[in-house]
Amino acid sequence: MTVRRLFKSVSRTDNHITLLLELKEGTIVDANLSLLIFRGFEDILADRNIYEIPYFASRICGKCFSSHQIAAVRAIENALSIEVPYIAILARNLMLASVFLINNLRNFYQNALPDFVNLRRVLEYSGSDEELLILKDRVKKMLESKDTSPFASIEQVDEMVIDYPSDVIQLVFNSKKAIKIQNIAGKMGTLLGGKYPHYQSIIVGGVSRKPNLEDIVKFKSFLDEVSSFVKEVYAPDVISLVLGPLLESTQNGIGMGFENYLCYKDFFNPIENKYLFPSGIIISGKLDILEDNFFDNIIEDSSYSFQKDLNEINLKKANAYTFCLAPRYKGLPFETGPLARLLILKEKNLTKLMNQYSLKPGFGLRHLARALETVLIVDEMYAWLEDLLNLISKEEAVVIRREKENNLKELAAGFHESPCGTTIHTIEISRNFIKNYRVIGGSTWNASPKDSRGLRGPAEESLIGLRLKNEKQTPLMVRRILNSFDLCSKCATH
Amino acid sequence: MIASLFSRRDFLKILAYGAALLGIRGGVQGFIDKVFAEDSKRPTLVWLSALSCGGCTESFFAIEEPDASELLFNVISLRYNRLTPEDYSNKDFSAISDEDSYLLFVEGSFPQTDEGFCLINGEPAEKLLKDLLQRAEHTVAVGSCASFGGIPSLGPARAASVSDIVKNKNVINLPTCPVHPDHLILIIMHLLYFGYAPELDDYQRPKMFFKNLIHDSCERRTHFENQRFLKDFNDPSQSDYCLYLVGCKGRQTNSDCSKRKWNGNLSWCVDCGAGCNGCAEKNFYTRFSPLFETQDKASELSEDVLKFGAGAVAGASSVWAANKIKERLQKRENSREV
Ligand code: SF4
Ligand code: SF4
Repeated sequence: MTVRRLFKSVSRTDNHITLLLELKEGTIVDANLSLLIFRGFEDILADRNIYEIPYFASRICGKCFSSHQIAAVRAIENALSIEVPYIAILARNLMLASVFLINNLRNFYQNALPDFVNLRRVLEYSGSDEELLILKDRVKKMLESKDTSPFASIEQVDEMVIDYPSDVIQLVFNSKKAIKIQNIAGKMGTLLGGKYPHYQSIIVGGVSRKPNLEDIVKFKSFLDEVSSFVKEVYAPDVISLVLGPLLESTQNGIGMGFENYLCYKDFFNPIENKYLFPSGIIISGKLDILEDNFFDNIIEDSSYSFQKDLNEINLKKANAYTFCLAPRYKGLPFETGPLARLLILKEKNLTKLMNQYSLKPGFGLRHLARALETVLIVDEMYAWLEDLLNLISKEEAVVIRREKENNLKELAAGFHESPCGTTIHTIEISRNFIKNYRVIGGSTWNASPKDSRGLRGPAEESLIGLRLKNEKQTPLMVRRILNSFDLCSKCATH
Repeated sequence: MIASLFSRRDFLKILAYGAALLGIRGGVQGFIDKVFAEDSKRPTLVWLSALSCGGCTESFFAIEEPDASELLFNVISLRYNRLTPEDYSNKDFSAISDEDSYLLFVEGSFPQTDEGFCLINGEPAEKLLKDLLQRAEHTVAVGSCASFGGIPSLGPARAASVSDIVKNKNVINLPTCPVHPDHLILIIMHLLYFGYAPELDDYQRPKMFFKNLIHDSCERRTHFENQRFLKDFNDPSQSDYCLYLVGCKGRQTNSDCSKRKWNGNLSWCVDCGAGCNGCAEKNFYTRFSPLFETQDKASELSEDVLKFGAGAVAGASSVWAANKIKERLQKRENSREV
């Protein structure tokens, strides 16, 4: 017998997401992921002057605002055939990367971790570390008052939960420290972007001000602090979780979904003429090339979306259950984001761990990939910073403007590999004004609904076949898997 | 009890900053004695996130005096924010009625054409707002969307601001896009300590933050007075000139960004060379557009100087754009009346 259950709160990363599950004897046989927020940016951006588009596009998502800023700016620069000065490329890379640091730490420590920790064990901590003892006292008060904000106390304890008191308290401590580190990473963004969130300095053609020596020195001292946390705390925490309590489920590929991945080249280093993340696709586990014009062949399927067509909404549409469209390339759904990027890059640490421990794609590997990606980015940031330092004494240009408005391309696209996936902005312009605007947000891929052929979105598919122990409570495993995608309804539906 | 709440010295120092700014009698100790005199329970701050980008939640995490990690663990209890996970699958928002009292912070605006444009844990956003308002001691609209409707008000949801909905003069508006982290923490401290709202201006913004024009205390003001304007971003000799001709809206915008700057005094919109967008004003996403052109004609400047600003970056077609946007707004207004 099949039963249907609606869960109104399944994601710790986003409270506009609900999930309808179909269960057969406790096993998930179907899933509808609903993203229930819609602002209509494509409509809002129409008719606007192209030079102000990046500022408004930024407001699509407050978490990865820079993704939309940069995708918009790149689309416009493509239309104007502008090549951005090296200084601007590097400064932008550093700003974008700062947002990655915040986002990735947030996803692990604030969103995912509470589902792997038995908070009550903090009370049994018997060590003598002064800071940990203060925290123990704090957590005791939180538990007594039945209000554990900003940490969460889970309702079930299973084999994936960390239970050893000194481990638990250390993780809670790290989670608190992670907030501080995110704060510092935000300041790195501010140094070059003017403010965080919603940078001010990313303008069409480049950046609005040349970073000076002082900016770079300060940036580096902040980066040192963040970098040591990422390498000495964050990455080790994730690795020991995945190779510890999550080992078995990661070997079994729990939460895998389709083995289709997509990544479009990003984080260009103009000095070394190299992208940090190369383009590529993987279809059913097989790596292939991704053409530069692949976006011509993306179809946004609207069979199950309240969006009927461009900018047209029908909230009463039969069968529709989400505002998200279903982007399909070659007729297939693709997972995008850290796991896709690192698999396509064949990142050496991930490959090594996968081989050594027989790990398969799934929610554990997604967290692992996100952590290893953060390490890669931190290292690359030092290289960009050094290149920037060398450049500022030699060059002045920070922005390229076109004198004349002829030779505009009417159609153009801009890309960014944002923390949650591949962001694509497509524009149609006339006389410096937007005629049509299309956004595929990073999360549009992973959170997409079913398409006309009945193929589910990657996040939906990752839940199929999962056995639930307790059907009535919030399914802990469901939440764990969904959080590993770092879904964002704002990017996905815009 | 209090000692263990505030055992860290740097934390005390940081609180002192806010206490001094707000003129709290007895400084930090005064604040602690008053706010935490009762028991060890932290004051509750309920956060409702409607149609928005979620950037104001990021601003919360960017609070640094006291830094967000201390604030969240030690001082207040932030509830229902997407970043402070709790399991509300079984108890949803109604569980908040267990709380004696709370401060309500609202991020985002509310759909007016169909409630389906924004559901929070499956519930219509406006219904939750109305439920939560009943027991809220104070209501703060954070960011431009909650304060004035913001960008979502231009979309199909035709979203309305918090005060549009509650038509209640008591709502405190904290615009800027996103909310300024300092404004956020200072308003929290103010409400917790004094228990009443600070003095507000005509737009219900606290006068202590929004009394003066950005332009009045801008570091580039001397350049403005001497008519030294940035016209070329690539010319190092102009790099700290006034940004008026590339569209700075500092002359039309009331906020204290030029004084307090952003994120620990590190930089701000004019410092990074782009200029102010006017995000503290109701006009930000509508009548200030296009952002890179000069709109208010400074009477002290000659037509010759002003000519540059009109077409500096975007070409001379701004009139056309302004009309388009106006048309669009008119269309929206009309359909809202029906
Ligand atoms: S930069 Fe803007 S705020 Fe500053 S003086 Fe010039 S016009 Fe005024
Ligand atoms: S300077 Fe202007 S655009 Fe920048 S945050 Fe302040 S009010 Fe907003």
